[in-house]
Amino acid sequence: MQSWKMEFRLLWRSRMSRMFLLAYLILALLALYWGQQRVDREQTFHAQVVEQTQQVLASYQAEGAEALDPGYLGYYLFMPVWQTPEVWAGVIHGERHEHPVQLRIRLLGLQGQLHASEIHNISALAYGHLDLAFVWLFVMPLLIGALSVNLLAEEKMRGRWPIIAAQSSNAVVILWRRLLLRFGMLAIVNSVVLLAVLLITPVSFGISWLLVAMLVLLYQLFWMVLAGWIISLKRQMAFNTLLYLCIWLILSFVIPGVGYLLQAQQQQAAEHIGMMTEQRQYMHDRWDSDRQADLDNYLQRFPEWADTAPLGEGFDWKWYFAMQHMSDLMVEDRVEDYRQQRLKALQLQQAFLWSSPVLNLQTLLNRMAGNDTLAHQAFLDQVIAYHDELRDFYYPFLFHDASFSEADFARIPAFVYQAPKQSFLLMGLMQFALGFVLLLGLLLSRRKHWLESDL
Amino acid sequence: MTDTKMIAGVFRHELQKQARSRTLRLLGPLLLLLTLLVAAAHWQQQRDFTEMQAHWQAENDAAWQAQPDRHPHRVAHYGTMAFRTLSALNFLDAGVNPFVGNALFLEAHRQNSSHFRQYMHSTAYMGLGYLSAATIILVLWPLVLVTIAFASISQERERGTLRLLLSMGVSLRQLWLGKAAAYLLISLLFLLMIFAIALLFMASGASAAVDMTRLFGLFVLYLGYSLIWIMLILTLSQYAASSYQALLQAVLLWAVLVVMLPKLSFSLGAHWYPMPDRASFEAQLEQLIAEVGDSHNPDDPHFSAFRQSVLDEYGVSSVEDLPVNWRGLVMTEGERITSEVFTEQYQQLLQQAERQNRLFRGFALLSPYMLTAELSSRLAASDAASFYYFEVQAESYRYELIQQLNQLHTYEVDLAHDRQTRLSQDFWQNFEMFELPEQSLGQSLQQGTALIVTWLVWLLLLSGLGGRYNQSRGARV
Repeated sequence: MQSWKMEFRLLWRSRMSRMFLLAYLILALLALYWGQQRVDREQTFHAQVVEQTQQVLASYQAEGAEALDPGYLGYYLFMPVWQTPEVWAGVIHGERHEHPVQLRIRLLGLQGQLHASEIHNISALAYGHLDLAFVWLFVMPLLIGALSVNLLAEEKMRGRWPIIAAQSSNAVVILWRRLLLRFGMLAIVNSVVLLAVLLITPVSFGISWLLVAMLVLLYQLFWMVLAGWIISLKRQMAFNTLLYLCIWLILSFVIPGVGYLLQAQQQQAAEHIGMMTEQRQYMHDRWDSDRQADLDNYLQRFPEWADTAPLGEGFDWKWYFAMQHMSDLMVEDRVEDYRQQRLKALQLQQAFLWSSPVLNLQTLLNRMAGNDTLAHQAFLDQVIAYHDELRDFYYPFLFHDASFSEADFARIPAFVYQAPKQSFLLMGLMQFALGFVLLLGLLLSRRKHWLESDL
Repeated sequence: MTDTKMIAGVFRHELQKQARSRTLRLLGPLLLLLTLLVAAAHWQQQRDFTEMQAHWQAENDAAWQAQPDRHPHRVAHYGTMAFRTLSALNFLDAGVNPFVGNALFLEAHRQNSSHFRQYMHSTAYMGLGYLSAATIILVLWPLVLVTIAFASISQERERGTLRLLLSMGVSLRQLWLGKAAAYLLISLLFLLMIFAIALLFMASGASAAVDMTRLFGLFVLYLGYSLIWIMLILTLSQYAASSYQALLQAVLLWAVLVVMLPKLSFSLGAHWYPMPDRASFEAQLEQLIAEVGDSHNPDDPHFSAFRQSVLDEYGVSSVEDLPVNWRGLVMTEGERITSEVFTEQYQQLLQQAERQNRLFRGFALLSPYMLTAELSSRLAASDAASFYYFEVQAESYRYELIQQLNQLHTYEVDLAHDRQTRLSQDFWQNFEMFELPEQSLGQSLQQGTALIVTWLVWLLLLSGLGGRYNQSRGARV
């Protein structure tokens, strides 16, 4: 116990260690605060859009339901759909900024409405914003390296090691103790951060919190063990530092970057532009073709609306929306292809989680936060289903001439996002274990340096 | 010995040392290989993408030409596509290109946002930056320089050779310059190899002509950037208590300047100057347009006044008596209002982004990395401004196009048979299709004077440092 106390005092007296730990803590808390703010702002934007929608609806209501042309409403009324953030969204931004998570949808052809890009400060995109996940994933390994990779080399360089080693029958124990102490200190700092997560974000104490805590701790362990392996090589300080830095860069910069290049290689650039152009071509050609024939075609496909009156001379909303819907169906294959390609890319990424614990943890965290491709694709799928609901609401007025009444305003369907519940946790952890076993193998190959005092 | 000879001696000696060192022999080729692989992959992708875009553009233009006789307002709704072509140097510095949409649908009444990024796969996993030749040079090369140079002066001191050298009449300044020249030569060789192969790529491809000034500018920029780091590292090496301290400080400096500061500055910017999301922006836009005038509302005060002014102008009492098509005039006026409100709101967005960027540029004074990265993307024409340039050009094209069609509606279509009328396709077959004029180098560097000046100050200040210190001024020996 006495020796633990002494080691702790040594660590605490080192100004550098204290500064690093403090800087890490401050950075983590800042990242947490700003990260949650981004999600809070999203909430405000959503409230604004909902309010505007209500105002528009109120103005229609004020004009009276009887005067209202439901087709006109379908054309002009935008309904908000929102990929509601899950509780961890502010902590782990993941891919959330890459697509608009809030859209305004109307009864027109849907595919043209789904792929807008979000408003950003374009300059910031290449650098990204700070979130707590970034601090954990990219900064924490640097801190661990700074605290521990030269535990032995530094003492040797200063010539203190023989004295220290002489104090114990097994000098390696001292190293173990120092490593563990640093692990513990960092774990305490991370616990403070994790407690702050409970205070600042909607995350509450429970399974998911414990899971994230466990993942962070495991990740911390990985880098600690890596540092331990480097120590066991018994090289000089500069070598240790550079080796650690190299591995860090390969795992957190090169592998994810090469992964992206490989993914891009799997795809044909810009192919999905066809979704937009073909849909547009189809819907505009319809204005120049036989409308009744087009509508009959549509009714054959959707017999539930078949008992409708034939088209008259002038413009008819039911033809218009049927034609818009058909334009979505015309590009159905392309949409499905887009969907499949995204899911395939996700699978490919999952298959390579073993290659880097950084990529691995990031993928797992993004999944937990619901800020990944899977969640966004689920959102798109649900918006497609919601569009069907909208049609079911409007079509009786257009096809069966039902009269629009005051009560119908309240019946306009609203969108509620259902977050997908899949988890890659097991797969990710297994692949993490694979990488870990490799590392432990390295360590074991040098076991005699770790078990004996031959340092 | 003369000054130059002394420096040359140090220079030669340092090069010999580096040539023997395993670090450089291992890291150099590896990094070169990685850079070339990445550049080759990007080159290939850039060609595919440009080809695909040309294909879609051709399809779009052909479809425009093939339109049957139509009502001009139908043509306005049919609209057209504008594609943002990547700049020729995108494969070296992708800048913002992987993050933004590149296809923009232009139609009446609406200002759409650019759709579809180059690749659909997420870029979010590259937390330390997008892997490109430029990032490797800007992010990784400084670390290689740290690796080979951190001990350059401190080690001479630790081994006692510094004292020896000084006693032999080599001044500290000569030591500095000689060593710096050696590291600069290594950087030069590294960059030369990358740029030579880049030139080979470009000579092989039939893609857009490369502005050689831009390419040369990039080369000079990267070389200067290497020099800035060399001087930073030498300074640390001279003043640190030990070689290890010098290494630690250099890595720490790298982590702060390259990894932390850019993210911190934009996070702070987003906190101080938040921007709306697309949905709320558009909802607000709609509200503002409706406040000016609603062309669909027969009692709308703005359009009532507009009608009266038109009637007065032509001296008639009802719109049916006008010699021109009243609906066409309403469309023209509606488009004018929409466009005016949009432009104003869009400018506010850009201003907010500019406030964030000003903050970034403020931080960039402290970070040669941020300065150089910004200048690099400007030289490669892959910076944010090049994207805004596209959006602004496309919007002005859209406005002209739609108003031309509204003119046809006003003067060629009779109000009494408005909806039944079809105009001959000849009318719009002669319209010019969208073409994005290339940004000149001057445009790219607009408002970049401060950046360039700061960059030069860094360069000169640090290069000057090497000359200033000598033994008597209290440098550690």
